Amino acid sequence: MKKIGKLLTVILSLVMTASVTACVGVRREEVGGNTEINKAMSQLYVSNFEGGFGRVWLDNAAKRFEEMYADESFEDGKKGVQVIIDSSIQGKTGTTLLSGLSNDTNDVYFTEDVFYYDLIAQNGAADITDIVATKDLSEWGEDGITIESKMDSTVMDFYKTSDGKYYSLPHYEAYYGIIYDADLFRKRGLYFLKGGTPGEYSDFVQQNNADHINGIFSGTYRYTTPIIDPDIKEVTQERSTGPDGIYGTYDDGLPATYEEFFVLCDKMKDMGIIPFTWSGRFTDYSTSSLYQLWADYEGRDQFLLNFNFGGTDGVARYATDLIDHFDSAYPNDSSKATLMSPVEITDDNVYMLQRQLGKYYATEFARKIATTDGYATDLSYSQSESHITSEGTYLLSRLEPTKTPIAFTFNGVWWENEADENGYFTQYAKYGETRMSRQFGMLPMPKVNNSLIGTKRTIASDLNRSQAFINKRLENNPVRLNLAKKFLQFLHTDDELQNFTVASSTNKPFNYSISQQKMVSMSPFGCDIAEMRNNDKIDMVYTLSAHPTFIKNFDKLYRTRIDWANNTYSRNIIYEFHNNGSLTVNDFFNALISSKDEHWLTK
Amino acid sequence: MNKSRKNKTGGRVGTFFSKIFSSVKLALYDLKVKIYNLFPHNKRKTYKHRRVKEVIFCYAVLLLPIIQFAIMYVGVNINTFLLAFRSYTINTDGTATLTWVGLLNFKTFVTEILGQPQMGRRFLNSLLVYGVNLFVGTVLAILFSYYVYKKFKGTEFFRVMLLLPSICSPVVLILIYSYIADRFLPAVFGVKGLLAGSPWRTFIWIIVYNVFMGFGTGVLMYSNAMSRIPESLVESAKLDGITPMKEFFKITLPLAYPTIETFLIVGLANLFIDQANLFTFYNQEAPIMLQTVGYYLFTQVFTERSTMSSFPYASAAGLTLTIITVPIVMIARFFLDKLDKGAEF
Amino acid sequence: MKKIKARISAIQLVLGFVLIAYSAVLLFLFVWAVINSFKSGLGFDISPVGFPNISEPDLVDFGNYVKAFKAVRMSATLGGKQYWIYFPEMLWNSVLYAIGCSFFATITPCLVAYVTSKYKLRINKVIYTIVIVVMVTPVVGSLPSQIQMVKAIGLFDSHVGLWLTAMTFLGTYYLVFYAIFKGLSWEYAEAAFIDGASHLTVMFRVMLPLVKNTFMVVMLLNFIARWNDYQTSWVFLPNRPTAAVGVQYFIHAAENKYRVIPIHLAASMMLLTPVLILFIIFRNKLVGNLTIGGIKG
Repeated sequence: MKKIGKLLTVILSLVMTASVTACVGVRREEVGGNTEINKAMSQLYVSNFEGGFGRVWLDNAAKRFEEMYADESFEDGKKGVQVIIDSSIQGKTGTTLLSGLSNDTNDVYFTEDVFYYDLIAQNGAADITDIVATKDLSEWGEDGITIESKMDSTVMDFYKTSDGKYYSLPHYEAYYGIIYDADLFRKRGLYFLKGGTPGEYSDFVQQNNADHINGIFSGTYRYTTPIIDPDIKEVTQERSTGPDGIYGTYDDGLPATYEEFFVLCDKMKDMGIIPFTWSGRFTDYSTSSLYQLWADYEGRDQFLLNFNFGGTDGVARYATDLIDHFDSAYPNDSSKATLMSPVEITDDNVYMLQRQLGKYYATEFARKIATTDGYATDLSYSQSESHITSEGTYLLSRLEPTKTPIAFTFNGVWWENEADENGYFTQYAKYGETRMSRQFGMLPMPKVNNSLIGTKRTIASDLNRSQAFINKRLENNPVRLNLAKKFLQFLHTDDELQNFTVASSTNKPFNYSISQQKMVSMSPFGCDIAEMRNNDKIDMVYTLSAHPTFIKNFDKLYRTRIDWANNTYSRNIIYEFHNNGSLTVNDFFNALISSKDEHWLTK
Repeated sequence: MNKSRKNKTGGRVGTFFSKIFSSVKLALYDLKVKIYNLFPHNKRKTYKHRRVKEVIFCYAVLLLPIIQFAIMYVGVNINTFLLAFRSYTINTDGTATLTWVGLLNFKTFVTEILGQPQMGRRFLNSLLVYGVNLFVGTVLAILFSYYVYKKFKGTEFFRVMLLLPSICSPVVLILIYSYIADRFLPAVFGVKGLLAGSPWRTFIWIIVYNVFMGFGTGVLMYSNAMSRIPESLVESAKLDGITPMKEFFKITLPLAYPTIETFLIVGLANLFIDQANLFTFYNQEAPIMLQTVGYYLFTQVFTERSTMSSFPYASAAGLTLTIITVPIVMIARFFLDKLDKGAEF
Repeated sequence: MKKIKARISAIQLVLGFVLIAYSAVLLFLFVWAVINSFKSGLGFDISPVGFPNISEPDLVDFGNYVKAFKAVRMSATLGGKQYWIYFPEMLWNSVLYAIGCSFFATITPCLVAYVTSKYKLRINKVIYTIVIVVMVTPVVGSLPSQIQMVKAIGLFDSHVGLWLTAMTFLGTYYLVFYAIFKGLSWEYAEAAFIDGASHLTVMFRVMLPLVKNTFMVVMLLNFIARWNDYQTSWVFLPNRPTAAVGVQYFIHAAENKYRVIPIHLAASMMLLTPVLILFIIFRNKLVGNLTIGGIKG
């Protein structure tokens, strides 16, 4: 009896499932939407990690590629190419992607979190030295210009293996920072008033002050040539210089120093504005944004010591601002710490760079945010706030009357594109503001003190270990390999590099600039980022090097391992300070220097 | 040939007919033996023959599982085991070399356990999770099982409720739980989000989640074990005037003990493997103050941020933890076995 | 007799209260999820409290379930072509995976426990020790090796392959069956042997039926674990995604345009429904009956 009962159970459940399946139909669709694989055309399979940089850039580029080559034959009996895109998030990055490469049917890959030398060691990528270094882009009108020639020298040193080969290209210039809502600044009068001297602040600009000639977000070049918009009415209030110390530039009115920044935050609190929100679930966002304060203080040469270990060219390089010890009476004041005399850096003493002064100024900054009530939303400390939902929280805050406006957020440069592709701008369209109309900017980091106002703005990018490569499998298929290589070359033409920026509001780590025509179709934030290209006011530092010790120890040396990683506390300094009110900057200093010593790296 | 065994019938039933029946059977048996002994037999051979058949049967059943074990466990893990003694270095020309480093990885891990407060915290958290699961979770599971076994009021409904979290995907449950904890409750009651406060507070609410949603398996197994207690035993105890409390401690618990003991051992064995669902809560970004050892090792290897270089270390760490856990489990089993009154029914 | 029956013990009262509270909280979680699955993304972002505001069409979305149903999909390469697999097929994959694997994962430890507990073999202690040691070994980082092994045998990405990998005697349930068999009297078997039954017959027709309830319970537990498992099935059946994989993937990592919380809630409810229905209908058959083990049945 029981046996029959059991059998019935099984049969019934199978029948139920089968009927559900049949009812709806076993809907299998061929990938590529409803379009069939066109047998008369060649196919190119592309795998894309659809994170912050999304897929819109790729969809558009693929269409243009298909159009350009619609009449070209890549295989006998076929004409044109059909690009089939496999774009998603899970399984598209890191070791998961790497371990599945030999079975993966895609040809070209765009991904992140893949260590370049792991990729080579695992025989995952095809040799693309010819299209990177040898062949030029004359097919697209760029005679004599190779992809290699567009690469930054640091990046090139890293990507060119010791036997002169390339297996992958860096995909996107990823970095974190503080994003600010310029609409809110303007509407609520959060810009500093001109006070007469750099580093001054006397008061704040009035609310709803019309845009002055400096700092106009109109999709035009704002860094070098202020453009006067005739529709803007006369104003009576000018803004302070901002961190670059010059009147009439893009950063006017923004806080120039740490002190100004926190005066601003206090003012915001008084006005019923919350200064910050960020992702509570992914604590990396806040930490990696604070990292930029460190980089900005150190500047290129000093900051790169962390990666090039003094270099391999025989020139001695010295670290000039290493802290010897804190003044115990001032455990939270790095300016009172005693510095060491300059130390020559080699790969024997890289661990000494934990003492760089800039890092501790950044730590002070973090501590102030973490320990001051009301500087951040509660969701910033909540596990339920993911990087995506924090974008929604930020974007909705100014629009929805029942919410409190939020001025800043810690996020990556891709945040706006990510928010858009996740539908936030569409969802919030009912308030009448769109991605094209809302004005956001990447905040130039405030300087530690007045004397540093005017030093060059430095941004450090580790490219998020992003890669663009071709599956090694294709080396057995010359036709497909050729097609894949052509696609990669196409994407690195000047035009397509610009198109990437237009679509994603972010830059690729190559040398190119965005034409004014293209700027017009970009969002204000996109323009802000685009204008960082070829800009002598901004130093984009790529944290890579070709030093053999660096490559051997790469997993110990990327951003999340060298910023505040230590053996005592979590590297997420905001959380540490927030949860432990008695923690001092000095404590962190001690933790950091004790966790790395001469045995830290493998030689 | 089982004639050598004693002929047993249901001993309790001792009626007249049964006695006659057994005498007849014995007489017939004697006759059979006498006839049998008339012919020469190698007695040892028949025993051996039977034994051989028995052994063949046993190994036939065990064959496939053992082969599966050899391939899917031993074969697979030899590689991983060896990896613990190696180190993975990447060279500038893109090749990677596996070099033998002996006990280096082990040393690194042990140094971390002894030296790093972070690692110490992870061990503490693992112990806490286990402790709460044991003293709160298991105890409650046993009590709930008793309720279900006794078919008290509302058993049907509660049975479904208790098992409900187990049939739901943890991804789903944690999604709902964290939204209610951090958005609904603050909006309605104005409290700080349950998972947004200090690390200790957050950790408590994560443990609460684990206990709350973890009853299903235990209740199912324990109530099943309890249901196998003969009703007649319980009835006769009731006739003797036993109170429910006494019945629970003297009958139910002891007879269900073997099953309970098994799960206690398993829980202990999982001490350093249990992630407490942290991966589902935080993915790879769990704050260190909340991490358990199991979570830490898992993120070293299985996540997209790990590199191949961390595999050897993770293998060594895993092996070290085994060496620590095995004696603990053996000792626990020894003591738990002593508590077993060996009831058979 | 009546006196004993009428007395509601203190245990029952206290436990009853606790269980009611427990059930209330649990039900609230699901009710909240269902209510909010009808809000639009904006509606949820504005407030997670309360019912969907029907008077404002921007804040509600009754089509979330339809969206979720259409959107839960994964790409798979089958027969050389790339397809999108949708939720109904995922359900079917789940059934094959969960029922097949749970059956093998239950019968194997059951039979091995039976043999090692009831027969005198030198290998008994070995197997028992192996089970304990294995249970205690944190298996870290063996996943790549496992994949390689399964591929080498040629069983990667097939349901049959996964069934074979489930045919292991390792694990808790071996100990559970072992304990139960050890506690069972050999009398029934001996009676059968006397009647001329072979070992095989005794095993299947006498001893195994005695543990039928436990078998069903263990199989149910195995089934549940596999129904919700998204890691193993995703790694070993990359082209045959199960429902759990599909929904987990959808919630955490789907294409960007589906990252709206109410749609996630709808997908979650969608995953839950089939098992819930099955479970409610068959709860009596599958959860321990109160029959006496052995002499009857």
